[in-house]
Amino acid sequence: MIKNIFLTNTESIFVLASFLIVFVACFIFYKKTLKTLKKYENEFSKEVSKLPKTRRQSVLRKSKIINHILVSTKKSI
Amino acid sequence: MFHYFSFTSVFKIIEKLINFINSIFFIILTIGLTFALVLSPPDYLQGETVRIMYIHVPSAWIALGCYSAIFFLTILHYIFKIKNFFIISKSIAPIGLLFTCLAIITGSIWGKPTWGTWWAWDARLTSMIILMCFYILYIISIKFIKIDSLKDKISTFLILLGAINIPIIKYSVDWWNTLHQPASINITGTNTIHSSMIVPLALMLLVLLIYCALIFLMKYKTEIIKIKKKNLFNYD
Repeated sequence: MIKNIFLTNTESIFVLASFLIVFVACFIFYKKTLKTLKKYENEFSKEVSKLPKTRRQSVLRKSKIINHILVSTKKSI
Repeated sequence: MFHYFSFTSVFKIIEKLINFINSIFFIILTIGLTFALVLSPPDYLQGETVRIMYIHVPSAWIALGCYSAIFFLTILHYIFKIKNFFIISKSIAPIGLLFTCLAIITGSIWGKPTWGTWWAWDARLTSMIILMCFYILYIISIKFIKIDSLKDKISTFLILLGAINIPIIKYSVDWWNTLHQPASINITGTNTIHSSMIVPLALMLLVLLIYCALIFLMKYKTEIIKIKKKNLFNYD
């Protein structure tokens, strides 16, 4: 196959095109998903930091998951 | 039983899974591509173009698998009214749409050298286009309908209606005379594909499944954050 690619075999062009389309589409989709995730993580982190101190402490005490989200956001930053 | 599906318990393992998948993905991708493009033999009839099968077939399987998963989750959501099932369905749908489009595009590219045409309105191809339409309608309905009860009803109706198409896709090559070949791999019957081609096919399926898992986890995490952000002012 590798040899055929260098010989620009017509069949190999179809093979390469389909593999390229799949990997490029998957890469773009991955980047887009990652960008959306980061955007929401940052927005969430900002919203929490905007809360008054007493309220923020109360929210963090009551919801374990918010703690997890904030920790993961800090790690990714 | 359903407390295992709670956001808190699920969120804990998402981070670990994403890191794990990121660490192993490129190793498995390299092995899969080596088998698919270098080690597997060309077909006696189709020559090198048979290698398109290694991405076309797993893409089609994933497209059908995603729709089936959404179908079962929608039924569970309808019966038990657990919002998490809806969130999971919502996260799976874009993956299903992506792989339906990829199955159609790679199938079209494969069709040109083998059938002599990019496209034919035969049963398998047309039913895949219908599947794509149902994915698009489902995604539009959950994205643009703001009233929750109406959104639930319409999305459930669409998924149930589209589920009729799943057996049609599967058996279209047996029920009608089509350009598309019949299934080469049967779980219950005998396979008509050589073992030297099953290994790269299985490896490429694994690569794409791992990719799907990664995207699903990221989308699911985003959905959880969206919900928590909305409920941030309700912790009283």
